[in-house]
Amino acid sequence: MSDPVIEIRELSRRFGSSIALDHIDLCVAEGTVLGLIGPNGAGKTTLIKHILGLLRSEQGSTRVFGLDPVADPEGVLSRIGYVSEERDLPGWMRIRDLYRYTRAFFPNWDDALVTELTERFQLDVGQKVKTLSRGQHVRTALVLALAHRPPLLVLDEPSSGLDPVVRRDVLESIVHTTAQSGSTVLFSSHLLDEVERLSDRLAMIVDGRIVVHDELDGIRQRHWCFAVHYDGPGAPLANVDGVLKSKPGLSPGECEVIGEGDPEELARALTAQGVSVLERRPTTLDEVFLARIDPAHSTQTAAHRTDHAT
Amino acid sequence: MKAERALYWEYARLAWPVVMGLSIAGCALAGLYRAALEPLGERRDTLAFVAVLSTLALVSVLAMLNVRAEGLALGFERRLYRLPLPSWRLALARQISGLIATSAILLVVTLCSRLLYGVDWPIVGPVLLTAVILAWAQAISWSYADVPFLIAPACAPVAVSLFWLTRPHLRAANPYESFALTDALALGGFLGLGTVAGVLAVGLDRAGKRLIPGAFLSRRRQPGPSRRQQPLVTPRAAVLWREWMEKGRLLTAWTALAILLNLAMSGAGSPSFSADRLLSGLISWSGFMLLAGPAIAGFLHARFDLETRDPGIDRLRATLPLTNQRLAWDLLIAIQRTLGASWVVLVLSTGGALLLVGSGSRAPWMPILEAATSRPAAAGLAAVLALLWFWVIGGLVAALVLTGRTWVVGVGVFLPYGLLGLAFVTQRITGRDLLQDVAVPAAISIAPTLLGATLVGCFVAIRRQLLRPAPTVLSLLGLAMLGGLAAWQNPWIARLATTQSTDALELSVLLLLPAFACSALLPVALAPMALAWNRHR
Repeated sequence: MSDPVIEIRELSRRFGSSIALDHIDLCVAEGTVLGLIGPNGAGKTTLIKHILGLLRSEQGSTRVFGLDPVADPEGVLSRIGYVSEERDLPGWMRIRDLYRYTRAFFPNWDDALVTELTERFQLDVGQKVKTLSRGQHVRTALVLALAHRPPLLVLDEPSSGLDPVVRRDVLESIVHTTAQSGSTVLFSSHLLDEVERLSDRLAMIVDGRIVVHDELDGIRQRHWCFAVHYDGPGAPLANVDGVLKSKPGLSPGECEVIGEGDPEELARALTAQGVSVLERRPTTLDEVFLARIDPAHSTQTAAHRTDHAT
Repeated sequence: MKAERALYWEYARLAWPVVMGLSIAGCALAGLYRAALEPLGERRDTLAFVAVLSTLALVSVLAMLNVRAEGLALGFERRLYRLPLPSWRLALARQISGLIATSAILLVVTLCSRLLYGVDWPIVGPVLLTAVILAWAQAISWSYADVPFLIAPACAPVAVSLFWLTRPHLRAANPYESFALTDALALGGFLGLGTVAGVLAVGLDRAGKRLIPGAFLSRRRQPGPSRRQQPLVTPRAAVLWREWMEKGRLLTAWTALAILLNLAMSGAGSPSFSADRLLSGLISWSGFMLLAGPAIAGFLHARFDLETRDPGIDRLRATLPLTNQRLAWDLLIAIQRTLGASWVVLVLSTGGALLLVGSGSRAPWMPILEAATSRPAAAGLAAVLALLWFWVIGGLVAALVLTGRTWVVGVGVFLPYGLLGLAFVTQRITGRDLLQDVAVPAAISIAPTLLGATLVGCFVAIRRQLLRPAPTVLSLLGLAMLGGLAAWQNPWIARLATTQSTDALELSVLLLLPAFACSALLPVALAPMALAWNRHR
């Protein structure tokens, strides 16, 4: 197996008293499309900044292509195409100026690809960056990120501001094309359907910790939703080992439980609490996401975080 | 009136740092100005003081602290258009707020100067004049916010009219010391016109219209073949191009504008221009150039339009595939080129002005030329050292800027000025000359400090692999030899060294030029470290 493109070990970062990243471990193999999801402020952008070398590791290590991005920014950044979530392209430049400027830094710059993408994205190269809409800005940044055919594409919330048509037809085709050419893609998003469609693997980050990192099918196969019935005031199901979240069902005396692990063992553990399992089905990614970010169960879920973080 | 009250409250929250910063900077600069010009018997006061110093202070504080431009009500925020208020009320609220803020700044500075320096600067006339300038500055900036290249042409007729209006007063030692009803009416009328223009500008902008030909703008926005198709071949070319486009041309144009302003002020007090008058103006200009340090740092620290959120190096630059050493070096070169261009503008315009004005029997630059030709070696070395001096000062400012930390830039640039100002104020109040007290210790420590800082900086940079050892050592040796040669050629240094009673001072004087020459490497060592600190937070 080839060396991982991104290898992060025990990475921690604090900003003042708040913990932005807490002992993150993450390996991304070559050719993978990894979706990074998490609520706002979970640490997605902070993690990406460490990968780019814009933040120095306070604890732990970050390696990209086997290199430290802080010690060797040239070696790392020449192989990354990056789209920021912020509108940070210089507003006074016209798009053609921006192409001309950025081209100077990348020997592999592909003019034909730039022309093709510019036409595909319907960009006017004479337009000033500060007059671009959010969607046009993202498309311009995408052209810049792709123009040197980078082996690693890092997209920080690329979909925000893009209309559904562009998102589906353009962004997704780019990610697929990039991945098919053997490149690795890391993109952060909070759009679960998009992550589900685009990525091979998914890393879910909550409160600075990776709580889930697996292939999509693996995540779906490991998480289950149970419809249970109980008599009396109700059992404290949230404390049952493997249960991530329980919520009231549609009928009185019923509730839905999201759990992680072997379904038979989960069912037995629930039955042991005096409830009867009415139905069992695989969860959607939405349900896993909501179960993981629910603060009411943070204590319980914390016990599982370390086990499942890869 | 609740809506206006909310606007005033918001403005007060935005403006108080600007008002405080400009007031303090104005008082400090007034002290420096008086201290520098008092020995020359200089008496051109209020208008030059207000115009040049407040401009410098404004640019310094605005750019240095990266404050929002709305702190001085320059640049009308379009978010205000979402408020359910008619345009004239929105515009008027901003105009009145700006008027209060600028009047407060001017009052504080004038009263402080009257109290501390015993000058009899008037208040009413300058305040009204400042109000007029502000009203027109607002109107023009609100009209042409999107097309800044039109701001200067738009300012020209206003500036000429204002100059014509105030010219009789500029001839006096203290402009507007006598303030007649006719002056009040003239300035009041000008203020009213400016206010109306501002209200009109906001109304038109809100309606999507402009005071410039629409066809002209639409032609500029036409897509089409590039006018600049030639590629930027190397990363350095790209960095230089961007720095020049963003800052260099602005600073150069700014220098030219400031020179013109100062020359105009020099000539305004006299019935006619003369070489003596011009030289007097240039002497005060060179004093202002020293005070322009914060302004230069401000320009470099944040772009003039204050768009960048990461001063010194933004995300796009930070993610370019260049090493810290390479990127810092390219930025350092770009910044030096910017500063160099400003100096070239200064020298050329000075020479041109001297040639134009003439000087009768004997040209004023002849003594300098004669001194230089009598000792060519010393003059050549002095010229090299002068270039090194610009390189070191510009490079140190650049290194401060590249840290990307506003507090570092603020402390690094403003602290020396603050300390100098404090010394002047202390002398004025207590009669004790702090500068004289610290002169000998400073003279003793300056050479070892420079040399020590350079050696330590180079050592740390080499350890962090930001400098290569062999070229660094060779450069240090070469520069030390150059400095030694300059010291040997300089009779002043030799005389000073031999006539000093203190051994330490004698040694320091002898070391001064070699240490200074070596310090040319200090920016080269510090800039990559500063950039790395900024880039990898």
